[in-house]
Amino acid sequence: MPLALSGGVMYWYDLNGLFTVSRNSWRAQTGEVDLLFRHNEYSTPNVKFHSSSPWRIVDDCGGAFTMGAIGGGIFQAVKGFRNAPAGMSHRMRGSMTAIKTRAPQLGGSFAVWGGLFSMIDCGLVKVRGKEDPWNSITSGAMTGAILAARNGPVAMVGSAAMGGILLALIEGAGILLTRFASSQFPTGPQFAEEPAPAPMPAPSFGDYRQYQ
Amino acid sequence: MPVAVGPYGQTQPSCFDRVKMGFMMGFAVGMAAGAMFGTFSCLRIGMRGRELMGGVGKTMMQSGGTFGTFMAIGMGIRC
Repeated sequence: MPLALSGGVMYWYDLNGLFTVSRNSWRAQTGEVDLLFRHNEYSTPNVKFHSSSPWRIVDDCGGAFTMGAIGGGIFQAVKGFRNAPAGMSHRMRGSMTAIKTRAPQLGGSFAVWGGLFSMIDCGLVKVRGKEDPWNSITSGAMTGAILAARNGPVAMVGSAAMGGILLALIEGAGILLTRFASSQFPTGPQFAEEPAPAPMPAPSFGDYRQYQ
Repeated sequence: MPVAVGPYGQTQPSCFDRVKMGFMMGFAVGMAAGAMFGTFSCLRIGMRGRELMGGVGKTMMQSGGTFGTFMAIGMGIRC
């Protein structure tokens, strides 16, 4: 069975072996295929569908907070351990204090970045009417610029360049990864760079309808 | 519950596989970003020649590790 319905959420794996989640509405159960696709943005940015859904902003914001808090916890644990005075109890306490003070801060700044980025990205998808890597790159640059707005125009330009370059690297890595992943499965049908929404899930929808 | 079989009869990559993939991707991105930004910042503080190479390499490894860890966590929390 290619996909499962549980609690209004469908999960399956697409050709590239990447996780695709779609929140199906009640309409999907009545056979009307009107699904909101979204995908894990850390996998393949060019296999996104209808990612202008406003809930994506909330999702990305929370995901970024969690990511920052956990990652900050790991790094600050090491840092607090190393910077504390000698003695195991001091080191443990230093590590704990560093986690408690710094990890939520880092999570918060990640959440601000992620939320603003996602908001601009969704806005660009809506305004431009298409989804390509330029959306992410532009929104990365704009996020960097907006968050540095209080430090003056020079800082804004620097921060925007940094955000744009970073997002371009991430997008490039995603594209390379997609190409690599799809070249690993030569038996399946191959898609071009930008798969149209219809062909890709078609086999699963074919199967899906049979189960209705 | 996620289902284990994809539409093409492909098996699901495990959570660990995805975390590993995220780490590798983050490491690659971080290395590239570290090469760029590290070169700028090392040149700005006046490193040249062999010292510059060492400084850039260190920045690349550091930012690769940081990015890789964060990307791995990002994949892990969406499992």
